Amino acid sequence: MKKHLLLLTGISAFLLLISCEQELEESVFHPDPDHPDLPEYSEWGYNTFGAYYDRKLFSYNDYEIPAKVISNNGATLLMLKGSLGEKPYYSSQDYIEMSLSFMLKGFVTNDYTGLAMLNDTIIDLTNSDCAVFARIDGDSIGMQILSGNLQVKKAQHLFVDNQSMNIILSGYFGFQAIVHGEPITMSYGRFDVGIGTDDFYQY
Amino acid sequence: MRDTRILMLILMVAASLSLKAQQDTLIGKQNHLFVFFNAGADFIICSPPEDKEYIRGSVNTYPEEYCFDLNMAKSMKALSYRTHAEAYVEGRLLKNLLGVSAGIKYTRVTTILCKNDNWSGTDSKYLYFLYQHTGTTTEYLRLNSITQNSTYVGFPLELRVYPNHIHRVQVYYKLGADFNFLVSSQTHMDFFNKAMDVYEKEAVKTIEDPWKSYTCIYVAAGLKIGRNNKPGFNLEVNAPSFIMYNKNKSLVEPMAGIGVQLGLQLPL
Repeated sequence: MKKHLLLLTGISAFLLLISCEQELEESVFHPDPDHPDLPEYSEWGYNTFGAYYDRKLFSYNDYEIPAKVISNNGATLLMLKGSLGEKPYYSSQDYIEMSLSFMLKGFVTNDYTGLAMLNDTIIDLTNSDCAVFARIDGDSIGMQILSGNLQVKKAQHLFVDNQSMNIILSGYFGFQAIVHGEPITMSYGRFDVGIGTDDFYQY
Repeated sequence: MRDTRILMLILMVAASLSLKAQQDTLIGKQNHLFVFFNAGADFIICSPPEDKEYIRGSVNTYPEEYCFDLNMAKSMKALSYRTHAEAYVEGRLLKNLLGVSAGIKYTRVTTILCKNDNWSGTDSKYLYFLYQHTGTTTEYLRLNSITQNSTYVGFPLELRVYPNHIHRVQVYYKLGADFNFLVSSQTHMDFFNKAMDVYEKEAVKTIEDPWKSYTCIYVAAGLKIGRNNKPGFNLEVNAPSFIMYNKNKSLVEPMAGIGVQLGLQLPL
């Protein structure tokens, strides 16, 4: 009887945790007053990001996980994944998948909680310890950064009802780079994403 | 305790006035003064604020393009109602055509903020409340609702017009205002996880205080049942009533209300 009770309590707690995570993993869009197609800068873990890739919109969508962190070979990669262009439907021919990855060499963490160390950090993307990659419509691009930075304005370890949930990374990015021999500008970049156990990879 | 004392005081005044009215009716005095004892409730339509500093936003319950009411798309829902008991004296002027009244009113305002219902019913029923942020640690508590109960003592001023008198039923129209002052208030937070109740005392400090004072302006139509110069009953419908308050931030933003009240009218 006691065993059953314990099992039932365990299942209930697990289901509660799952339902809790589910809502925190959804994207909540609050438009920027000046650039209404971009999400407003926030620090609530709304799982959104957005920027202008030259004049095209690069932003999160409801089909891709907006952010992942990969820790590998003594470096940490922050990947933002969404689409390029006005928000199209996933099945639309206009849908162009795009991801942007910032590689931070020398920054290593064994689990997502270590990302809190990035709080209030400005990373110069021209630094040799950094690299920026993009993947646009299946085409991998190594970007030659001319200028720009990645700012993690706030990194917060989020607890919900006293349980560790994720790390919220909020900040800005913007840079100029050479892509396929042509200069491009990534401007007005901002992100507010939650990285939990499901979004953190180490291998 | 304080609320009970005020209610007792109103009832005592009411009882003494009622006794005097009975004495005067027995000796056949012509009346131009009446005393009213009313009780009623108003349901106040509120706008749920979407940018609360302590509530995490969530996905809109309906896409905005499908909403005929903007509040449908909001993730929070606000409810408010007020119940009251009042006693006041009315003087009749212009051959009983016009009534001017003043008195005292005890009001309890209840305001509730909770999550809006999702059309599909798939989303959670709770809100995320920002409990604390220290250094790089942020703590949310899952919250079912916030309820704020406030009691006020007010002073109503009313103008009634009695245009016609049909047998024992008299129709009247009313324009009134009451000026209310906060006596006490209590805020309760209902957490999704009951184990988090231990944080309630600290968490309620984040919630906006109730209005220190507010004014309610209302128009109403009513029926007085009973013979002239005799005790009678009255039924009123207030629609609409508007609440004005001098505070930028409050738990909810009231828009307009509708209410009913029942009362007893005695000649003095």
